[in-house]
Amino acid sequence: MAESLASEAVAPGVFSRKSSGLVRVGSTLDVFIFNVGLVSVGIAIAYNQYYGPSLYPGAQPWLSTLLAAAGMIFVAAAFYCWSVVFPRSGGVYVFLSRTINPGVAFVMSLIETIILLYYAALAAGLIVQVGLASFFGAVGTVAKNSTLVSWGTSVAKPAGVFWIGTLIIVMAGTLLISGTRRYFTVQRVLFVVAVAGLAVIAVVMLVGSRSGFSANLTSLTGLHYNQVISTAEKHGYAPAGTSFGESWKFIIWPLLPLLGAVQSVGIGGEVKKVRRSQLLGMLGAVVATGVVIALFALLSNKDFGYTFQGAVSYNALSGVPGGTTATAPWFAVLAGLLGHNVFLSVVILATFAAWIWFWIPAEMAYTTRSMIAWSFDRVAPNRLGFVSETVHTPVVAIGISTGGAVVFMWLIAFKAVTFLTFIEVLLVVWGAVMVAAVLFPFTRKAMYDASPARNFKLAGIPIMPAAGAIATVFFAVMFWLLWKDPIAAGPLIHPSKMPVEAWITLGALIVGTAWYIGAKRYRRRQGIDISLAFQQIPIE
Amino acid sequence: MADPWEELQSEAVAIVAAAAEQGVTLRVVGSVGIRLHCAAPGPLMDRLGRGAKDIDFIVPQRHRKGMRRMLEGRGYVIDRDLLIAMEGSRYSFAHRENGTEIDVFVEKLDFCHTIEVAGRLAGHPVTIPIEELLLQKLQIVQMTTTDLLDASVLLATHDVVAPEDSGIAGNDAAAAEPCVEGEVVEAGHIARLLARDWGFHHTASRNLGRIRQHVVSGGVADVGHAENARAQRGASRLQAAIDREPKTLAWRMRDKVGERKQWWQDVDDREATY
Repeated sequence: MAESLASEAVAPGVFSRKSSGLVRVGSTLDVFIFNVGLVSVGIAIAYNQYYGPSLYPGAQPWLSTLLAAAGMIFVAAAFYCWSVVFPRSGGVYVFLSRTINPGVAFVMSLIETIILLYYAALAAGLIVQVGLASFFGAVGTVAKNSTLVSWGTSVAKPAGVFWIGTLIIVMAGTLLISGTRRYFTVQRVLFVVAVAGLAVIAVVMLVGSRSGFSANLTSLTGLHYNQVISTAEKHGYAPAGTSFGESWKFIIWPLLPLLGAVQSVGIGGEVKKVRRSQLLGMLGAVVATGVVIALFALLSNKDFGYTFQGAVSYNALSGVPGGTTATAPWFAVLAGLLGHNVFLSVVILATFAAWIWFWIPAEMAYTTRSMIAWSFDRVAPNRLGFVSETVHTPVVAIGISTGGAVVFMWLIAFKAVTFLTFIEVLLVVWGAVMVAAVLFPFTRKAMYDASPARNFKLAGIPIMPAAGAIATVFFAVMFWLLWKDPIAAGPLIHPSKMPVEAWITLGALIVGTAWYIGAKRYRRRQGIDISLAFQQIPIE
Repeated sequence: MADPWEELQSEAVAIVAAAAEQGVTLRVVGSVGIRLHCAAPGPLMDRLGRGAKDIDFIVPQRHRKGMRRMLEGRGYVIDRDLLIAMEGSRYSFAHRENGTEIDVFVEKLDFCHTIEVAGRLAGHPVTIPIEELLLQKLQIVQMTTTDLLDASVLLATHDVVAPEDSGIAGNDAAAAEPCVEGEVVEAGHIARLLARDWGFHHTASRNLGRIRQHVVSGGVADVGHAENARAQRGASRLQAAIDREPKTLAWRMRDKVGERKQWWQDVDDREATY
């Protein structure tokens, strides 16, 4: 650490920095936006209000969201400790490779990379389905333009989802290729747009009323509020009063987006003032998004009615004729109807598209960092860390991320992969990091004692192992809920019919293990002992 | 054993010359730049025990590729970590045999405050102009002793001339030989830059105050009796010119906020990114 003149009662001499300092790219605000974007308030609200009241009658999304956020606080605390112990980019790979086992770390990181690329593709698909289709549908309905309404249904078909989704993924890859600085700048601008849009929606919903929504629904779509409910009931929908049990079961839905709140661990090396930035970035994102998502659930109940939301979504999901809107009744569509104004509809849907977009480049950025970290440790080819002399960014890693996400886009569009099953796998990977947080102070005592995390205590209890332990239990419970819930995910391993996700995970496990063993031997023949890389202790 | 400064200086000069042969513009910045800019600072820095570290260069954006080829051709190995992390805005190299370290900045010096140098590379055949060498030290929020020494040496060996000055009145011509004949620190250039940037102005003013405080007999940056006086006067003249310069609207608006808001950008220690 450089000595400043604040303590300069010293004789003239050489008290210099080791080298010229470094202005890192990511500010505290960038980290916060990165995490909030990865939560994606848009996806969370869309999922909550579409699937909650319809498939889990009695589940209150606001309550499920707050419960999920409470659990995520401990996850964020444990990840925060890791991020200050190892302020490096590369995510869980860095933590596990330096503390548990490099081979395990590589395999876990490979699986995590595949999952995150899947979710990047999922978000691109959602932009088409929830964003673009809803946009055409709602604006067309409000403007009474049947062409726009028909576009809304056309783009949501598999070919539309694949091609438009692919275009969006390529745009995200291109943005990353243009540089992290530009990516953060674009992210900041979009964040302002998304937050402003959300504020507009909140105002519309605050001043709106259920009677107004009901009247707009009839005048714009021909549907009658009570008829939608009775139609759903006739087809098996069973409305229920608020149920804590159902809300607890539904927690896995808001958990999916909230997991994004800690993903700045993947860019830890690019963050200024890592302690402050990661603390505010992670914990701030969990708290802020948890509150906002819960608030919109309450506003939805106020304006649309809980039972109506359940009924209209139930009708859409069950294909009940005449019981739902022309395009799927995602939150954005209902809010557009409430606004009853073309301009407001455009604002609402553009806001949702912006929120969903955040996921795509951020997930891809995370995966490129993991790949580069493998490359630097010589577990993967040097080429993976190749930097173009034209654009000055790691184009090979970004290209592979983009290609991987496009493959998943195809699976999502044409093979309808069940999307929450991968969360089970992600919980295992991140659960390993939580277990490692519990063990770290004991298995790597010298490293822990030399790290800033040693001083993080609450009422005398060391935060890293304590938060790690609670987060491990939280993840275990969430895993069990997902496994037992056939609506959201169901068992990853099913003897009669193994889902695609299981084969992908198993494949990654086998390929990753074989790759690591092969890489170690190959490097040894080159005279390189790759285990030396894992002995580097990048403590602040 | 060879003098480390001499080794770094001769290597820096050789690199600038080799670059020029290949059509690449490189200029030396930092402490090596201060020593190479002219003859006077070297002996002073030696007397103060200012140690040698590495060589810092600046390169125009369009010459990055040629710079890399040239340095790699001379046996330097690029730092891949920084290559990825800085995305073409900065490079670092280490010689594979003698370990000499080189940092290359692109077009600007971007630390606590940003100094645009792209349009000023023609001012000197080997280094950046004296004003930017001084600004490089004045932009540091947490000055180290060596930063203070470097800045003091520059002021002790160069006259500071404000726009309204007709000569170099007020400076002690007997204290040290002028570096390049007639070369002075043009206070107007520095004042104009700082009149647009409140944060930089604030940091530079604080540092000029530190210089006046510490460049005294027995002080942290005691550069010698006559030189101390010359540095003191130079710092005062520079500060006066900075204060006189009309400020932009943005500067005045930012002035109302003052120190309540951080006025510099954070510079972290150089640790690996991956």
